[in-house]
Amino acid sequence: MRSRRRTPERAAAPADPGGSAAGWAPTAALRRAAMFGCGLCLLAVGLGRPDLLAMAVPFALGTVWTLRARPGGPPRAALRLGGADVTGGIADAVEDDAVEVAVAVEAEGATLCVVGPAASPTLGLAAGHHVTLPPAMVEITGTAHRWGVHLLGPVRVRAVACDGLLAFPTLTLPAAGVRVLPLAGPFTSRAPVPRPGGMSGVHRSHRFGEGGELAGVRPYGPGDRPRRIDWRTTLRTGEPYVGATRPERDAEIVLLLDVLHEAGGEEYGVPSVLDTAVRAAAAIAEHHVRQGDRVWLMEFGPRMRRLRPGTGRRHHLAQLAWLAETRPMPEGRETSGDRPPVAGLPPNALVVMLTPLLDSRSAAALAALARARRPLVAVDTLPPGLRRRATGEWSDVAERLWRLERENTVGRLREAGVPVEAWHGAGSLDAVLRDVARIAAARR
Amino acid sequence: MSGPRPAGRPGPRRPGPGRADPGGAEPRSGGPDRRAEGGPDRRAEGGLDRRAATGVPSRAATAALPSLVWRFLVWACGTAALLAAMPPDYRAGAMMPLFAALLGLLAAAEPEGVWVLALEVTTVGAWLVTTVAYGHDPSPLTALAIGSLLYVHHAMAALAAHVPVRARLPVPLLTAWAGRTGGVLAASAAVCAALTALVALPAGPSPAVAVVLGAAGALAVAFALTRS
Repeated sequence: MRSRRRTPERAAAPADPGGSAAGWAPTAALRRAAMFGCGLCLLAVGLGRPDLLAMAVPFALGTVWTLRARPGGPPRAALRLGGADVTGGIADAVEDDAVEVAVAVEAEGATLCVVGPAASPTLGLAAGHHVTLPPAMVEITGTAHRWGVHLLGPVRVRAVACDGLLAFPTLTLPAAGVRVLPLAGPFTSRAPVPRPGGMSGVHRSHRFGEGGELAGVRPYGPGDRPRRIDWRTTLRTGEPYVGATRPERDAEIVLLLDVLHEAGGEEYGVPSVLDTAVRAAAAIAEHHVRQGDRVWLMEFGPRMRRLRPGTGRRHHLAQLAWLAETRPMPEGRETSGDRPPVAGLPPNALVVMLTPLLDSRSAAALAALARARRPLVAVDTLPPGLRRRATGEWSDVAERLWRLERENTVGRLREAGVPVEAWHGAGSLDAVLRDVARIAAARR
Repeated sequence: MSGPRPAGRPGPRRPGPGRADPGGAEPRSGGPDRRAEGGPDRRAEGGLDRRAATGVPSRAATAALPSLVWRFLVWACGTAALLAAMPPDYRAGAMMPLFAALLGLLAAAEPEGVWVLALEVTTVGAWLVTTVAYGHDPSPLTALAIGSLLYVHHAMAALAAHVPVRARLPVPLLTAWAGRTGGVLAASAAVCAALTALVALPAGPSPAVAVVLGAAGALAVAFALTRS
């Protein structure tokens, strides 16, 4: 934190546009100086004591001198984040990056401003007070520890003029939102997407057709272009052969985030379920968007949020912003059904469900998707090493039973044709995606 | 706290959320790569690099005085004023200096409360006891010194009342305050010298003239206040 004098032309937005100089009120110190000085003068005249008058002189002169520099207008303050004034808007930051906030204060005369931002633990900001002489910019630096939308503020600004003889009512700057985008972990995959269906892209189609990907040679048939003839094979066999190619297509990916339950977190020393899911979704989405695929984002929870597909860098930023606003379902809410929100999606889209499998509805949704013969991958986002919230006499047994039941659920899902794979970052889905692609090709 | 950064600063540690880009040189198509331009990415980056945009000179090392030191000075001035106003017999003992230190401590601990006024009134009372009951000479010079200490105590307490204990007072504020206070004390000394010379004249002012002069002085002060 530091304060910095600002150039006068960079005026801060007034926090109290309707305010006036009348807002300045005398403080207890001014009343004390007036009372004490007048009392001494009266005592000096009453007792005929010029020494008491000498004692009163600094108070009288000091009060007059100080009040001559009283401000003519109200102080102004504005919260700035991202170079612009924050007026209920949201500013973006990236996870693990520094968040800098500035409070611009401006006032006339000999004014002192005390800036007091409220604590924001998620942004690493502790409550504190910062004294500055306006015009100045008080800078507050924190760290965006975790993705999400965090509130910064409110910030209270107290202005005092004339060395504490006049005070202005506290200005309260409303809290500003800081959207911290998730930091995508490393993720690459060389596995084919099961059913690419678009017009152009990087995935090799399962069907032969016009394209640049050589798939082999086959006998010449009606409709084949002569320039497709593979002369080397033709000369060797004596029969006309043509080169066979496959078109390159893009794919549609549906990332389905299970937000029914949250577990773990910083207080347990491990990333939470949603931390894993959101960062994994960011990584998978970035990988596929970079390949030119269309990526949907959906929530499996009460809000049923979804982000329509798109490609390109701008769309990926929208995806990160969408992911940053992910919230777990409130405790005790049981209104969500067990049907995944995949209505209206193309049937060939690969569904990647990021789920901790803590709820039977998640398993039921996966089973329903498998029954619908959709290409499907379940990514287990339950963080390893998750500790219990409380320890009791039966905790070990209960945890063992719960883990057995969960393993049983995973096994049943695999029997139903749902590949379940734990999230390990780069390459963690390659093997399972190859299996899914093979199964999808066999079904055709 | 961080220093000013140049415009177009790249990300501090990573090229963006996709930090594991093995090549590093290839701009990520998806992640908010801070090296690229346009779109919300630029907005986010602008937010983190505002100082370069403003072009405002930075003052990286602004010195500041802890508020606790200021409170200590409040205590020292108040205690010194009360001790100076006490009869010498009182100062020689242990009880009255302890009382003065305690009252000074209360005023320093709660400068926004009534303890500051209580200390000032007690100081005047002690001065009256010293000069009336103990018959010490009511020297205007001593009275001016006590008044100056009381004024400094009052002014410091007025500032301390609005500054939280854990905050730090910037040095420019303190130098400006010290300049104003020094000017007030110098002007007070000049006024008191004139007052002493006037009182010391063989044909000094009669009580009626003193009242008229006092009223004129009060009117001048009121005029100065309304004109400011």
